[in-house]
Amino acid sequence: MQNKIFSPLIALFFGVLSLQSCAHHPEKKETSTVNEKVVREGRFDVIPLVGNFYAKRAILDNGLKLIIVRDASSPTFAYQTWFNVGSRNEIFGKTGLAHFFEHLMFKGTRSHKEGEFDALLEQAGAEGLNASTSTDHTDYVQELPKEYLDLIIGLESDRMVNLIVNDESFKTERDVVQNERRFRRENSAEGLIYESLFELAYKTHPYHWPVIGYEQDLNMMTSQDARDFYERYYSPDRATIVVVGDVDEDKVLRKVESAYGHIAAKHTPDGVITPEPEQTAQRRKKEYINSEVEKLWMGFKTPKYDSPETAIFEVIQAVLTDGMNSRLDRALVESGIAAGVSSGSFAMKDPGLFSVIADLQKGKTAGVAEAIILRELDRLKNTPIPDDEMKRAKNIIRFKFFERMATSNGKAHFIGDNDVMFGNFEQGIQFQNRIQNVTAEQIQETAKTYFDTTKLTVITAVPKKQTQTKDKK
Amino acid sequence: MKSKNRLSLAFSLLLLSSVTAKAAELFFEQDRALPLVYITVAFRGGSAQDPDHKNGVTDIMGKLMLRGTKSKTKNQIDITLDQLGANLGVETHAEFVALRATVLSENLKPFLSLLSEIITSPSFRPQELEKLKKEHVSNLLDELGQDRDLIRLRFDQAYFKGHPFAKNNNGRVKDIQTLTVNDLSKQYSNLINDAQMLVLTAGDANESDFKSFMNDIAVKRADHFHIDSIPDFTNDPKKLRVVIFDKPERTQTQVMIAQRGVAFNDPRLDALQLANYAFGGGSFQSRLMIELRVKRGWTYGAGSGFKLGNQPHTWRISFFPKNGDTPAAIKEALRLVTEFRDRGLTQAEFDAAKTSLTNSAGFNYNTPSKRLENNLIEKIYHLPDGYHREFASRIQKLTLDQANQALKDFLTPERMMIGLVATSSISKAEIAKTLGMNEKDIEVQDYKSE
Repeated sequence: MQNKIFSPLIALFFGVLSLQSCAHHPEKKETSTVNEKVVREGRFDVIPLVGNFYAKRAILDNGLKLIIVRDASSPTFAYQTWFNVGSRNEIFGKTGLAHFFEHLMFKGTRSHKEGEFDALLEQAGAEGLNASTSTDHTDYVQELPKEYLDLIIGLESDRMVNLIVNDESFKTERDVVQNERRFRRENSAEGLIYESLFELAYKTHPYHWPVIGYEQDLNMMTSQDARDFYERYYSPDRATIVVVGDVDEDKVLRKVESAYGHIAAKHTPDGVITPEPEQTAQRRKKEYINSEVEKLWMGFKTPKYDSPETAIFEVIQAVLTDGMNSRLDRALVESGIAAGVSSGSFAMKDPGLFSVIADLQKGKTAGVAEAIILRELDRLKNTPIPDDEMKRAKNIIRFKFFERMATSNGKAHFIGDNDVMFGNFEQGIQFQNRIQNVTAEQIQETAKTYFDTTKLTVITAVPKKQTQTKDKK
Repeated sequence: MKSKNRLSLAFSLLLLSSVTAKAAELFFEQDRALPLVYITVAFRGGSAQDPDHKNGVTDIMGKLMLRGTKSKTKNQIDITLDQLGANLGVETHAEFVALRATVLSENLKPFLSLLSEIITSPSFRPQELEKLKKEHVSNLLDELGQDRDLIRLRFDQAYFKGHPFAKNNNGRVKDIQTLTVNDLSKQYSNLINDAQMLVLTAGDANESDFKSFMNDIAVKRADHFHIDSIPDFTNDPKKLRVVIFDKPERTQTQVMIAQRGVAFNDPRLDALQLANYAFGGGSFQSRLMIELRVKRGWTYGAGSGFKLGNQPHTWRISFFPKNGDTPAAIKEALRLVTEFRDRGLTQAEFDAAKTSLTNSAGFNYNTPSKRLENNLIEKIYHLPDGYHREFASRIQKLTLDQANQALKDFLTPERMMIGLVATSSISKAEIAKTLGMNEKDIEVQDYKSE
């Protein structure tokens, strides 16, 4: 926020590594605040979203959810398809399949040969044509001029049911994915540390492995694995379509129903997901990186996304590292120990991690930063946060929420993300309300419960040369 | 201590001399959809104007402006920004520096008051400078761990050696370490000036909300300035040049291949932009993507594009294959460029690119913040008003012959520079062999070398 060249730390955490979702998710239980405002209008539930915007939701007979937000400020619309499947649904030996399959979704179908999907959308002037896979979901996104609604509905509904995965395109795409893995992991210091943190923090649960998978698993994968995955998880009852822009809601519903209504729901359960046993002792690992500065990544186990604590962690994050005057910024950056510091919840469907990441200044050690971070976390446990600091933290969160909702894509992403994670996106709005009601006492209680060093995993990354010199001594 | 007092005095005199102020230009667009206001205050003059051996002075100057005014410490500024629900940062480019802000509309007035103070009365405290320098240097060192950033950085340094475009927007470690408050004050005097200032705003506000802000920043600023124009670069490669930025243990190579580009005012630019789209400029159906990724699986990403400004910079191709595929991928990319120059676009490619660029043009200005950005670019690079909005209509008028003639005139595949972040001991011999070069003609630089 303060410094462009410092933003890679945040970008890597939240953007480039978006293969691993880190969205912040509300709890599932309290529904009154928002649901009281839900109005039935024909086949739609109408729900206030943000500012002057309303979302309309309809559910098709096959379970497909459609959520539409009308915004005529530009003659365009965002169209996103969210599937309730991610690397969490993989098994040992087949890691990376969800992400690999996301690549294959851009290959041919029974109606369109390979390349046509991209070509037709590009001809239409599509913007931001892309997809991403996380631990818990997979999304396919694009924006289009308003006159191309029929085109995108036709193409997306086609690939939901008619995809062809042949051996040749499977093998070529595997090479592409292996290259993506080299790019994101093997040749990136942050990528290596990130992978290391989750491998150490999770022993049995699928969050142990990276979303992009392991090289050997990708090499052993077959096109039949991909076809089986498609058959199992790409079903309308695991999907949410979000349309935001200059569209007529009734018209969109009619067209979506016509294109997708015939696709049968598969009602596939999640499958067996091995739970993670409770962490009872601190875990630590040292990594050696090609860098001149040390790095520190710490992760505390947290409850899953739909716990009441998730909103509390959001405020804790803001107090610790958000804005221009956060506690860790003062304690680590202002004091000349770190060049940058960030924190955040990897709030996921199963218990996640609250992480604190510091890039040290040259000559400073991760150990010093870790001691300071632990001291600041103890302060959260022992001393209530003053009112003005709470107010400031909540103001920052509110501001960031509005910023996120400033574009059609941003609104669509917010809705899709929250909808696949919670079953209804209005929980995301309610989550914002809940954040504003978090108290200093709740923060103390949560910090005491979760910032327990027996639940902590620490990766320290040190420059290779420095280590070699030390080793020689 | 003495030195500090002298510098403070010099700076005070500078501010007192601001008696011939002009009104800065204001661009405003109302948009009430969300309670946010976007504000950019830009100044013509950026890292290309950093004096020799002081690369980074513009960027550090901008960042230090946010770390203290005559009446507020960094801590006070930071607290105020958080309380207001605002963010404020500095972006340094080769030809301009910009303060970028977003604020909750309910707090616009106090925010503008703070911003005015930051622009007109920075304190440049030596203690803050020393802290900032350490943070900044550590971040520059950290960037060396990101191969994708590293290739961009090192490539320009090698290609434009001795020219202002070789300067990194965020500076060089060894230069930053020597910067003084006096250096910053001089740069402030040169760049932060009414005559070269642009104020661009959009969002949930009224134009009148900015009236007193414009007056404040106008009357308090000096009106003398000195910006060196960027000289023409005359040292383009005379033949194929290969430079390896040697980094240990790479399993993948970051490749950048470039030749001299065009300036914003080059009459061929639209035709070349259209051609570039078909070659590698964002389309999944581009020649680069089809040949390097779809057919061969050599790289996850492959693209090409222009770096644009008032002076010609570069047209560049980038991709990142595994080490074993790197020589063949480079050879194929060069073959594609040569073929593109010699045979040009096909009619089908031309039609597809034209349709796609025309249909997608609306996304270039579909939000207030994008329109604000377009306006900034148009002003900074002396483009006609509406340059971005008119893009589609200009593209529609192009013919295939114009595009192919522009390619013939422009492309020089025999005189490009190939930059690689790679492990030299693994890659050098095979690259030389594949490109038919003598191994000793391949330049090798330590990846840390500035």
